[in-house]
Amino acid sequence: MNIPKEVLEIADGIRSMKIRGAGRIARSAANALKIASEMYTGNTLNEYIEYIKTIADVLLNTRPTAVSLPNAINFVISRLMRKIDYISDVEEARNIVEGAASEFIVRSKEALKLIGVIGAKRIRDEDVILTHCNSSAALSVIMKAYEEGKNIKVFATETRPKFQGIITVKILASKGIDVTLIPDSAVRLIMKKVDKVIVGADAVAANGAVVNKIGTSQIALAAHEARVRVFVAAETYKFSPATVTGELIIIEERKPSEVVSTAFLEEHPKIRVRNPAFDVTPADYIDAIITEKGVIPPQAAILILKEEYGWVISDYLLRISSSEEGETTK
Amino acid sequence: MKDCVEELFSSAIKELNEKGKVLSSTSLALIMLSRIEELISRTENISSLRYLAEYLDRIIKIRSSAILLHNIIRELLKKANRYLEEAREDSVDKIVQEIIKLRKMIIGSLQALGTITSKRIESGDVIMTHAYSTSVFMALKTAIKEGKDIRVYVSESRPFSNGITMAENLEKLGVEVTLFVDSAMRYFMKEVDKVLLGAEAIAANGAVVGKVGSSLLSLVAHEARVRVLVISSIMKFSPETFLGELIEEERTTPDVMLSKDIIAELHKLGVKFYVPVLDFTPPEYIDLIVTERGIIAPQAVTFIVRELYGWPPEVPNVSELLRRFRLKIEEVITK
Repeated sequence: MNIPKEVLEIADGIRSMKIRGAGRIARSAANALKIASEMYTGNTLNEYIEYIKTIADVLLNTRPTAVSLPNAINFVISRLMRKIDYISDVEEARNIVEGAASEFIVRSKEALKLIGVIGAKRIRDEDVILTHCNSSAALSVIMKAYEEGKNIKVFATETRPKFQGIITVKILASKGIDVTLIPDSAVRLIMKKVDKVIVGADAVAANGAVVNKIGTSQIALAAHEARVRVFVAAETYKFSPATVTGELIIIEERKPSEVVSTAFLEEHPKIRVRNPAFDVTPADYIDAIITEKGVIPPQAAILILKEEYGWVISDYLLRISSSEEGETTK
Repeated sequence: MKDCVEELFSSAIKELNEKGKVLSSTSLALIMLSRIEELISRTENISSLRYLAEYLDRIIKIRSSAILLHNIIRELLKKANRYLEEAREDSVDKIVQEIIKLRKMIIGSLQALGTITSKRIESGDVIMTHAYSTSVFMALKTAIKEGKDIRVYVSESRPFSNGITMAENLEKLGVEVTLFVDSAMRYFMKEVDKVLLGAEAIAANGAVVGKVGSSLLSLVAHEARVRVLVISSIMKFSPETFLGELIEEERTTPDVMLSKDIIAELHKLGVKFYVPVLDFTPPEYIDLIVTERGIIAPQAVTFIVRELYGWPPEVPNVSELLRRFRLKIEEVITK
């Protein structure tokens, strides 16, 4: 059976980065699986399973480095595979796939709210919080704590080079929260006044290391030095399955013109400007990761990957060996 | 003639307001000595000392944390007060000579700092620094002139972004220099062999007061077991801190970081700003301090202060010296 046009459109959207952001990518992929299943017209079970697997592969290949995309797909496929021996017809298989896809979409939409509710319990009245960059999950925690009537004070870093800290202070101040903007270089100086650090994550590796906006790791280090607790607020779909098999997370270095003007770069051809977008915070500097499933120690990241998304190392090994076989038989 | 001095004075004050917080304390001290020399040697008249007193008063207020300025001004005023007391005919001339002597001393110490530090720099070293320190620049310049093949990483250093000035000046020396945002210190530390930092002041316990971000960089270096060298003239050792004085926290306004429009918009929403200029690095994170008298452990600052100021250190208060200086000037003029 051919791949439906609607599914290809979503795949294109993800590939061309028209669909951006970890949450939106993941939900679009789950939705694509659901649409594909709904549009399946055949009636043999094996054919259906092959068809869904093909769709999953097409979606996975749109952005091989995205973290949330394989999670969304595995969330659905692993639920199908777990019951594969007990399914007798296409209808049953469809129900599982479409049900799992809808469940993923609903859950991921609710994740931010749940993270807020769970994380806010960790915030005490009169706490001084430091945050970095602009993370919806971290803000959800801070704003929920404030809504619960906790009298909190927030320091936010300006977050060079792109000043996402300005978005953060605008959001918090418009809610009425006491918020102060500081330069990134002042994080160690300010740490003495801080009770808790709350940041977001772009990805969480299997060992609990957190990939987030550049500067996060030195903030966590300064907090660790001052015995200030560090919380990472992250939806579970940000946990990176590829790292389970030893894949390294590659940090993207962006255009120098984000840091200095293009005129400066032309005037100073010998000054090399490097602009890494993210850094990696080791699990040792993180006290807990606040997810929509609950608060976990960073070292338990592998549990989330296994329980929620059905990732097992053997899955990967099987996939690798089968692709190798494929190559040799060619 | 008087108009000319007045003009000179007002342009010197304008310069202070613009650069007083931004410049490295050594550059500021050298500028101060040039300006006061110009001010008083123009007329050779006692009344011109009023401008000198006023200028010193302003510079202390603008940069109260810069111990080099305090120590230089203290030396100058001790001598000046004596000349005025002795009611010497040539007291203005003597003060000018004293100013020249102090300038020579600063330049001499910079050269010594460069030569000594350079011995600790090896070919192939990747060196990270923060902000703009005249002493660090001198050290790097000396190492490069001696033919050492080094690479330098420098952080932008907001507020003021004087890391950019450092990168520009190093580029002129032909050294390979990499510039990055302050948030990326830890990201790059794995590629670094040594960290060089300047100082605004050094306290009794060996803690270093430096441009904000210096303590963060030292912590990050310490974590990665990268050596931290602080390059500082002994004239930056703060004798007052031995008597229990605290070094004041220096702050600036957000307009050095953000545009007026953004500040106004954020202000309206109730956002506050905290823009510190300095921070404090504990001695544990500093491997050594290079001074013009040699290399010392941060904990050995006491020995040097004892040598310089006796024990317990005898340090006349700068404001008190300035008050007496002003009184003396008026006395001499009314006579």
